[in-house]
Amino acid sequence: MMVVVLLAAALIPAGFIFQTNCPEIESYTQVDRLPSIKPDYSDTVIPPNIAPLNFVIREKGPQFVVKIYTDPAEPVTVHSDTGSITIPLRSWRNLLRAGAGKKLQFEIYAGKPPNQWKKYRTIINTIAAEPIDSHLVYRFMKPIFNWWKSIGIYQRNLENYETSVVLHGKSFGDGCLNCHSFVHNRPDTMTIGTRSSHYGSSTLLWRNDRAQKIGSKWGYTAWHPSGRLAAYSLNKVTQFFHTAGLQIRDVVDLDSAIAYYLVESRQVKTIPAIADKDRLETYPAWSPDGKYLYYCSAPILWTDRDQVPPEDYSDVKYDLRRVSYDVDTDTWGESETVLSAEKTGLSILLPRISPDGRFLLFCMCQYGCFPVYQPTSDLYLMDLSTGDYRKLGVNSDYSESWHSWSSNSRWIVFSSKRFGGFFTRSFFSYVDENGRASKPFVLPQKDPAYYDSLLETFSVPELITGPVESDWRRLAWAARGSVDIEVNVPITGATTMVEASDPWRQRE
Amino acid sequence: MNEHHKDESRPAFLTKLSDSKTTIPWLPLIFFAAFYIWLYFVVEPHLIFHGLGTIVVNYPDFKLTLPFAAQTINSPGGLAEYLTGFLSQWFYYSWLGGLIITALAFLVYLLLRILVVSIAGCPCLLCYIPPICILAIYSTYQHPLLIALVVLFALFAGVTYLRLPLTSRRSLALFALLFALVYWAVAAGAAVFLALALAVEIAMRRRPLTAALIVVTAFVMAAAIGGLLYCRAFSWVFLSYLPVREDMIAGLKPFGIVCAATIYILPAATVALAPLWFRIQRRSTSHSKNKPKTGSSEGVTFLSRVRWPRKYARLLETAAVFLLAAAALSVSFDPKNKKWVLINSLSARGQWEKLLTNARLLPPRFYNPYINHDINRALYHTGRLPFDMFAYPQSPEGLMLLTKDQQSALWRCKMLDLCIRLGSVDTAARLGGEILAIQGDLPLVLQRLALIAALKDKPRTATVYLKTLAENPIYTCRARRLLAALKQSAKWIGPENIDALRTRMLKNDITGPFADSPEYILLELLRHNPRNKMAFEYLMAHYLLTEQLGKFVANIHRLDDFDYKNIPHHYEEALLIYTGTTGRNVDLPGRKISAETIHRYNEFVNTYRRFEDQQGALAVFDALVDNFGNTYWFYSAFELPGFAAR
Repeated sequence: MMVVVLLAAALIPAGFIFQTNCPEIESYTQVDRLPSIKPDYSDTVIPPNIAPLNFVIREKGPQFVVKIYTDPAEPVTVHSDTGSITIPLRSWRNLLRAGAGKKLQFEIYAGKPPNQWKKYRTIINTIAAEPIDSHLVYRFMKPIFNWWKSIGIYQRNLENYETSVVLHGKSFGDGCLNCHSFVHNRPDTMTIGTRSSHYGSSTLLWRNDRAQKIGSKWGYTAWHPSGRLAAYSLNKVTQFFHTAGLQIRDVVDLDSAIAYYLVESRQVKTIPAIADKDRLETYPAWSPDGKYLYYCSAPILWTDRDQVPPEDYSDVKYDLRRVSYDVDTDTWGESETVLSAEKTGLSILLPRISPDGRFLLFCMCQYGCFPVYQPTSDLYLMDLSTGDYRKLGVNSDYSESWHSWSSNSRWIVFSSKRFGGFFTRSFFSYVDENGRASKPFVLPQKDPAYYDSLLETFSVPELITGPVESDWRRLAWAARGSVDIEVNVPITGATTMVEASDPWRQRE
Repeated sequence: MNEHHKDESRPAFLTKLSDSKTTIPWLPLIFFAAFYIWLYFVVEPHLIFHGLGTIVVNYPDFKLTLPFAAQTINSPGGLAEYLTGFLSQWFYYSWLGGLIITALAFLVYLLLRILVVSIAGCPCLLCYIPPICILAIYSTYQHPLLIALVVLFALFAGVTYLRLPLTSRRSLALFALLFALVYWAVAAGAAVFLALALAVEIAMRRRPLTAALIVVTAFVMAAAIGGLLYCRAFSWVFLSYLPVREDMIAGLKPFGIVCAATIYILPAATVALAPLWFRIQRRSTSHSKNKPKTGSSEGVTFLSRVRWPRKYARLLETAAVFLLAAAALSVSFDPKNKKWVLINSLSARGQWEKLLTNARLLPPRFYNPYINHDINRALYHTGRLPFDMFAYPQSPEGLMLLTKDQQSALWRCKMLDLCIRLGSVDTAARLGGEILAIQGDLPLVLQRLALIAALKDKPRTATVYLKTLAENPIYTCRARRLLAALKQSAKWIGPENIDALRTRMLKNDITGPFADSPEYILLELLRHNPRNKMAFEYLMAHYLLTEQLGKFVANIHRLDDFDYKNIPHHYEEALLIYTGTTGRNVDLPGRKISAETIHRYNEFVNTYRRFEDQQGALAVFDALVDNFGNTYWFYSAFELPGFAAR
């Protein structure tokens, strides 16, 4: 212990000297190009409350100096011998706070003091006026090929680098976790789907400072803005593999339907419109006023609902539909097609509506129901006032999916495999009032080389306005405990009973 | 709590052993020197290293990074896991691996000896049993490092507990503190410390109330740390890191399980029995006054009692220890098992010639599908598969590993390698991904996945795997070399011929009911690239092994796609059987079966008929084995090839 204290005592002043002893730049040669930095934090829009965008300079030079400023007279200067730039949190915050709405500039020098420096063209980013929700909740695991060992749902404070576990599978027998969902970006109500060979499949509900175990596993879940009910999908889902191609994993829903859970009465209900026996319904999403449930729907093209993969699986394309709902009377209207696959020629998936009700963000891919495994999956934005939609500029050659909105409708977060096509990372983009999205940037990390050796993926990123209010221990006890809320999915006659399943198996 | 420690109940604490102070401890010295020599020369720990995660079922994951250390240690048992991972990496060097095992075994011995000496006044031979058990398990090519560390932590705490004779209340406080630390280090493995403390309190200090309170304290602390603080399941809180859990005894045979249990149980049992030992020894000492000097450097009381002259006593002790060790090793160590581990290791490293040399030393009955598989790989890579495969025992399962344990890491690793070489790269990627998800970041798999990414023109993904590999201290340099090359030229510089592999890569997607059929996959690979020699030779070998000669003949025309000067021996043999059994001639444009093969075939058939008619199947076997044991004819007749060459 004493050694640690002494070391700390020695290192803190050393660090101070290191930070302050910046090499002099008397003169430099101008290089007429942008410097190469990794991750690419250039020409983008960043939130005024984001953690420092640490990066690595990928230029040659024994020393590196970066001046970061909104006003050239008051730069924050960081220097490094390795090219790894770690920006002090406090200075960064002051910069962003004072510079909201302004240009944030990174002036990068590589070379030797005092006069053998190269100065690259200044990297310019914009600090948005609107902040992003403070926390990101995501699933963190190795890419799954049928089997898993360690899956956790974590939350990350976007204003710094604090990461904490929301719930980890090892707390309940190395179980699986998925489909975390919140009410309108609020951290006070949350559901998480769990699956364990030992403790069974269930849904954990955190609400009113209490964790409860619901006796059925919910698929993709959407909370009604009132918090009085949640619509969720029941998916008979299976994973299979291709032997060639960019993405070898694939997922198909052999059958699916949507049901909804009424919180007060603890009842599960469904209606024929969202549980048609001849169609696959999935990905429910509420309009912010709670008057419409949007969802995806496709005809079932196969007769054998157990064959994997089913015949014609690559011809399945989902339409975007919606059905009206009155929460006070629990009555539903007729379903209508918002955008058909026939029109787009693609499968429409994962509708998410901005909290201001203006835009609908969704992805489209060549076929199927699981965009994260489809390299063709791209993000599209529909203006709900006109019904016009267009492909966003944030897309890459690889899969974009699992998107969500910030509570102020100005930020989106989504999963992308653009770093090589295999590992999913979380990216942010600013969406202005006209629906123009800025160049996306990856979730910043304290160690700028963090992603270089990260075999885990970030999946299903959800923005929330504060830290999850549940304690992971209480969620774990609930997961291991007996069922608090027994529910039975009604068999309406309109749909066959869909067995919630999971394509992935636990380590045995 | 009103019990008091009495001097007479703990006389041994202050006992001075003139023996151990003045003489060199020859027996421990010789024993641990021999221990190391056995490990280094016989077991060869680098073989264990190459089997980690496959033959040694559990892979001790390790990365030399602060986040990994912080994440691993922040859990009960995490420290033991971290140390296991760290120390296991150095098994790459046999001399260092041997040293690590010897040092750990010696520490276990030493701490147990200190405990016993403290109580009984003299050591006893039982102290050698845990090291012998450790050695015995290593001799079976399993890896009880975690077990040794668990017991080591517990013994260390036990010695500390014993060496601080306190009042009941203070003992309890000391126990709580030590138990918390040990529980953090080895989770429920702290039960060994609990057992030690109980043995001390009951058998030595005679404080049953303190003992009872210790048990309660242990349960409360385990529940508090494991259950409340780290929120682990009840079974994990109380059973983790004990040899009752499957993950602790995975891969161990019954004798190994007995050894593992002994390592856990024996320290407490020894401590519990030590007072009895002490009494016998004291009685013996009083008997021996005014008698010719007898003695025992290791205090083997029974030896003292029969009053052997000192030098004989020592000899007998030494003999007893070595006999015990010899007995344990004779049960645990099997040279053929070592051969299998060696073959597995050579296969992983691509040392094919050496592999075949070692394979020839294995008796046929010791073969298993994995050995078959490795031999066939080696034969292919040395260009001898269609010429020599029946010089080795074969089974249809071995070629493409159609075994029942298709979820084991060993199976996945073998298939991962095979699939890459055959060209089924995406299937290999799937297998690699499964291994990473289940077993951890096995260096071999990381290298293969980097290769796959490079094959698929994904240098950025390859970089992620290689940078992860670089976090393993053993592979840092290799990974950096590969990274540097990848960065410079975006090309792979590993030993693999990446261009050749690329030409074999399956480009068309196979899904559906036949996707798992080896024949279907091999045919698809050939359809994609008719010059995929490995797919061709494996397809033909598959037909030969499954005796589908019709399909074999239907594909013999593919010989023209490759550079065979003549028809390979085994193909000639199969063609003759086909013609002989069906009466149909096979069209072989530009090629013909050699006269020598035809002559040998006739000889085989005549001998077969002669002996079958006259003397039965066994006689036929005996008559043919010497001259034809390495032929397809012999395999076809008996399904027992590989005899003649031996």
